[in-house]
Amino acid sequence: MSPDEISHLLSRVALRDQQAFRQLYTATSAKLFGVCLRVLKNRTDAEDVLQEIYVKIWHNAGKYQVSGYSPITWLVAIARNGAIDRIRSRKPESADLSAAEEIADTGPTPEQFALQGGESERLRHCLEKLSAGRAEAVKAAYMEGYSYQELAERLGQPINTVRTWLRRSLISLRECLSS
Amino acid sequence: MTKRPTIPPHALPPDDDDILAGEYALGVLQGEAREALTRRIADDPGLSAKLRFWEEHFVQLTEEIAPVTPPPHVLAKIENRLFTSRQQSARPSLWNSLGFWRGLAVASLVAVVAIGGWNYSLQQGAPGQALVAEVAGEQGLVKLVAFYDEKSGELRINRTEGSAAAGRSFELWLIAGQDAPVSLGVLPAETTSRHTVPVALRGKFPNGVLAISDEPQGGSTTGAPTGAVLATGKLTEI
Repeated sequence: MSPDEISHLLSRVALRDQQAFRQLYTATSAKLFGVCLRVLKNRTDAEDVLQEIYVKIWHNAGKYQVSGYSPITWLVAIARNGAIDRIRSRKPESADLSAAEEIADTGPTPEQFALQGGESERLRHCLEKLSAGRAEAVKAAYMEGYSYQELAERLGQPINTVRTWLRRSLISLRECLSS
Repeated sequence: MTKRPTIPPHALPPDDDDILAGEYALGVLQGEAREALTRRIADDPGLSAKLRFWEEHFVQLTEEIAPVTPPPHVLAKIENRLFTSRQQSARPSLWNSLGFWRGLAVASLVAVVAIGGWNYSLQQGAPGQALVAEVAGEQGLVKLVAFYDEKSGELRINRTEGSAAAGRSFELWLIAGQDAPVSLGVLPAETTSRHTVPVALRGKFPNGVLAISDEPQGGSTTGAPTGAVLATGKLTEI
């Protein structure tokens, strides 16, 4: 489904169209569930959060059009924020770190694979300009939803050092992405 | 008159808010730092634009994440939560619900009197002759009562709250079933108005939904809503 089609569905959902909501769910839920699983690494939590995400989408679809976001980005941002809020609110030991491997894909449609946000290769190019370790830290933070605390533990570095690294990486990225 | 070229915000050197927005987009902030920024983003369009910049770029990383089809019970739970819980909770309090509709009918009749001399009365009205909708939104930016007479095809609007911002218009839409929204026109500045519904649309009013969107002055030029949907309401027989 193209971004324009998703955008159209969102405007129908804003008008309380239940049929459009179901179509939107069918087209986007595998993508958002994948994003949630990646952060939460736990199926039950991811299913719970996915519910909350679509309830939020139903209630906030009217805000999408004025947000200036592309539709996939808007949906992914809601999904990631939901997943990150959940992970921040739970105790650290409850994450099942082996679950990520166990979660085999149950076969999304080709349509769902085609759901891609962004249109350029620019981010990849700019990440390549960072040193490998720093690019990995940025990617891990985004993909896995690590906090500074968790990044510091994983990298075996003090939290302030990690924050300084990451902020410098963001400055370089920002300059590269804007050039 | 020459227009001064504006510098796009992302062409300026990054400031602290740019980096904070980047940290927020990555999700590395915790606790009070994250909550405080969530509140600031809601109130500060400059900061939310900086956040959008990052989100639009980082979203490309999700292309590496394999999609996973959620089990079917998730959609069932969502739909149950959104679309049936209210009906279930309303069942034990049918009288409240009737009272609500009666109240709405009274409000509508008051609206009709305010519009002036429409001799519709409940006694004459066999079922199916009139539809009413209370069109309202969560934020309360606009609220109106709509009264539709199936015989004459006339829709009467009494706006009880809200007016369009300067240079903007409220546009009224009908959504019937799976059809795309159809414009019923732009609401005038006056709080009451009458609209003659085109014959082709009249059959679509029963069980339809009315909605108000915020549009450029004069209404959407695309044929579809382009701005925020501020209020909705289902048409119901009285």
